[in-house]
Amino acid sequence: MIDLLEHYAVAIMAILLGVVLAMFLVLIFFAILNRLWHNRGISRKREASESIQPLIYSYLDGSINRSDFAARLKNKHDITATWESIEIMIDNLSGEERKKLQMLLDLPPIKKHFLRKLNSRKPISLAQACVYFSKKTLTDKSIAVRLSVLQEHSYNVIAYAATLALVNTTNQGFRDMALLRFLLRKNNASMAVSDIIFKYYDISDDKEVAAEKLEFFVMNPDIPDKTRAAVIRMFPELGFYQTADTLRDLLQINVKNDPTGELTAALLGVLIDFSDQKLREIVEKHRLWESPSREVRLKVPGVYADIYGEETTRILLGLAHDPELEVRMAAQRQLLKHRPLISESRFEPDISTEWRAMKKSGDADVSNG
Amino acid sequence: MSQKVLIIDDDPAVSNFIKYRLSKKSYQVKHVDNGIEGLDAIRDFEPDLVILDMMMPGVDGREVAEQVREHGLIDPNRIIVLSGKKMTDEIKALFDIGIHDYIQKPFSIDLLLLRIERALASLKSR
Amino acid sequence: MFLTGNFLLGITVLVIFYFFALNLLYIILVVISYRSIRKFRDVDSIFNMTGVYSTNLYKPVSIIAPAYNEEQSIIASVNALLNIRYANFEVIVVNDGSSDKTLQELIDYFRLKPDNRYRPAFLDHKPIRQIYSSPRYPALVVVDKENGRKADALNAGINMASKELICAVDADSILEPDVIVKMLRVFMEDEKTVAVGGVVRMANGCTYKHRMIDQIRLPKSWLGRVQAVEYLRSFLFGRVGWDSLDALMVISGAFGVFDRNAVIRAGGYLHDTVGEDMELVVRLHKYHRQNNLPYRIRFIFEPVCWTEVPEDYKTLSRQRNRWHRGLADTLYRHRDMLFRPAYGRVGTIAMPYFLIGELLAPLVELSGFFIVALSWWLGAINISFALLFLSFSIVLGMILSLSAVLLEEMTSKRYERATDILILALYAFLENIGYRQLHAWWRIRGLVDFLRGKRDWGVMVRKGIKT
Repeated sequence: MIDLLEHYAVAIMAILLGVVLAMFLVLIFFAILNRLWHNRGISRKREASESIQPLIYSYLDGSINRSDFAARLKNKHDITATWESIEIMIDNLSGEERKKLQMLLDLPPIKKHFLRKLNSRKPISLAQACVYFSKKTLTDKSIAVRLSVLQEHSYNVIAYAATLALVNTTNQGFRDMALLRFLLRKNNASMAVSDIIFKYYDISDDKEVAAEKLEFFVMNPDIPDKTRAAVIRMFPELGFYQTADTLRDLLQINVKNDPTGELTAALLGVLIDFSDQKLREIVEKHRLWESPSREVRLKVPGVYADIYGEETTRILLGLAHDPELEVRMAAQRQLLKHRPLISESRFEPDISTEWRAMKKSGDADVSNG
Repeated sequence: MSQKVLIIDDDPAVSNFIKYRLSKKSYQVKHVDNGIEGLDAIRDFEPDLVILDMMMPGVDGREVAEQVREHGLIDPNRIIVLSGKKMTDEIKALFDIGIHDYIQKPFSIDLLLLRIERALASLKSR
Repeated sequence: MFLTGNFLLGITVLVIFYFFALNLLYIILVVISYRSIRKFRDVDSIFNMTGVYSTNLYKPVSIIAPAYNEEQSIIASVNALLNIRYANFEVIVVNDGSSDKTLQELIDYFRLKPDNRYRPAFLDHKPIRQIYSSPRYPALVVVDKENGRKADALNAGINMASKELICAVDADSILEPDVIVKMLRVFMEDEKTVAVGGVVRMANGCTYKHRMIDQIRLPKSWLGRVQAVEYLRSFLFGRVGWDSLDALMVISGAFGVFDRNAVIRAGGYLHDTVGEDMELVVRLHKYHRQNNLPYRIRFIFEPVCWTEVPEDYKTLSRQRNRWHRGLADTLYRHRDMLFRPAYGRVGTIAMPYFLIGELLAPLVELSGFFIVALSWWLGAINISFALLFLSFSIVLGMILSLSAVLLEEMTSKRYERATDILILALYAFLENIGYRQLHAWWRIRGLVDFLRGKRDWGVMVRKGIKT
């Protein structure tokens, strides 16, 4: 019995060993082949870009024209190399050269190459196509439609790239549609939102109209609060001081029903940046230092940066004992600034324990933050 | 004798283009793609003008400019800085070092060539 | 005789079962890693394309570099950090009470001036002597504090940091120039991210050019090459696999990006452990799970930094001893998470794996040898079965190592020469002869030291990186 078992065990082991050995041989063969193939691809790419670059320069000079250039594009490597060089140059050059480079991107073989990618299902191809179409001036309606479909792609990054391509067009209709569709999405990362907003505004011809549109968007309750907060946080960067009234109204409306406090905190931050004079009133009316949202309480000390007095001291002293460390820190930092104006007895000795003074001489300028 | 221009920039597509246009104007041009070789080239090639990119991996434009001043390799006034980002503080620090000029990307190639010409002319006349 | 025979058989079956279970897990990890790399490689190259996310609106980062007695290399290291390709960052160098001229070198080169400022005290650490900054290098802050080991220095740096994200680095490892951008896209993809790690690769054998890795080569020494296989395996399918299972337990101390507030709330780095990097990640899991906060801890499979590994037995044995003590310590501290579904896959899969598959692995290996020896002595061994099983396990191990090499092929930085594959495969075989046993021995020593309560680091001799 035991003997038989042993016999089987040995046989099974031998078979298993054979299997893994075969697997190993296949794998190593594959690995080496793969590497050789990969290395060849790299060197072909390098060759292509070395031969294409001078051509681009001659084209920019006017020594050869577009059709001469197109005739020199022999294979896929040439097209990719052309695209890669042009892409970098477009970002770095302005004026006449940039326009000429954009015209080069319209060459039929290149355009066809990326149209194929735009209709592929592979994420990388889609994204490459989006980047391509964002670099040239887009006029084709069918491409715009395809891009707007991609705005709903499950990969956030593709939705972002498609939006970028549409925002970069000169067609104002495409741009506005794209921006709204993007903002209505559920899962945008706030950095991606800021980035799109910045680019949308940066290449808008009429800045005033663009500003009005953005102001209008942040009032739209269909757009997720998180996204609206991200848009609002861009306003100081874009210098939208004229929006202060709108934002203050929005704060008044929202302050009561803002469960996460994200929108309220963003509004407070921006209005503080704008040094809004009426902000204090709203804060005190709604007693925002008692808000359940940490983010909101964290903003309150900033409101009192330049306001001294009994009431300020009382609020800041309250926040200096907040359960959240960061809120305490912000309040204490503000108190330290106001210190010379507060009577020593009110300035409880324990509030500065979380700020260790490096040097007494540092009292006057509380930095770091 | 033709004047010598050194380009220190890690981006081949753009710097080759600058080199191409400068060579056409019969300048003697050398291009290196990193800060360390850039410093060597400043020593050996003795350029009349240096086009220096800010953003480079390893040793960047800031460090090159500092080393140039530290070791007195050439007059920092012979450096024109190219930069892609609006880094006000960094640019200020560079002007403190004494660079000649600063050009922001994206730039127009004609304007760049013009500035190079003017810079070389003004440096010569001194 | 009959009893011992049954007893031996029992243990043998147990060991064989252990072996198959562990390797099954490894194979699953390889498959998961492959699928995840294939999916996210695409996303990765999208982010690498210029034009995407090219404005200055990324989250700001504070890079924290603790330095202890590094007068030789500190200037080069700090300059490399200041040259990182990123728009909004600061570099905080924490001089951890060096007894050499590290601080003076910094003051002289960067023209540092004492900086009067209040500093917050989120986390505890040894007293700070002085803070320095330089008008010429606005992004640089140097903190001079009393010696208190790496975790202590990192905590001081975190207090000092003024940006949203912090990035803990070893001052003497070489970072990829676009490393921060690479890490940041994870935070962009998913806002719940609180920590990201990346692949740490061996710098030994590689050639340098301008403070960066130029050509990726294998080291010459036997210990170096065996470790090359080890590193590839552990980073490329270990951590990528755990990442896709959402159960990453380790972010290398050599490089990691964290959400500053999350780290502060979880309590910062722990002073009295030798495995502070792993311990922090486990504690972040614990903190967020306990408080029902949404979070992600992620790993990207691109290389982020290059580090010189020890190539002599003495230093390597100390390092592995320390790692194993760190692992034991972390698992012991957080033993309440073990097998608890409340902690997600960290509790149900990752921690049990680290306990059984890593912490106790050297004991199982040792008992395996013991059984073979005992059976031999009793004449109860089937020689052909034993030999077949041994070859099977070695070939399986080689297949796993080779799959790591193939996964590496899918990342951007690879060993370039085709012959390197053959060398790596050869060393995947050779590691079974000698190194494996030695490694198990070092780890057992670590375990014993842990049980004895030894907590210090042991001296780490680094060859240092030439720039």
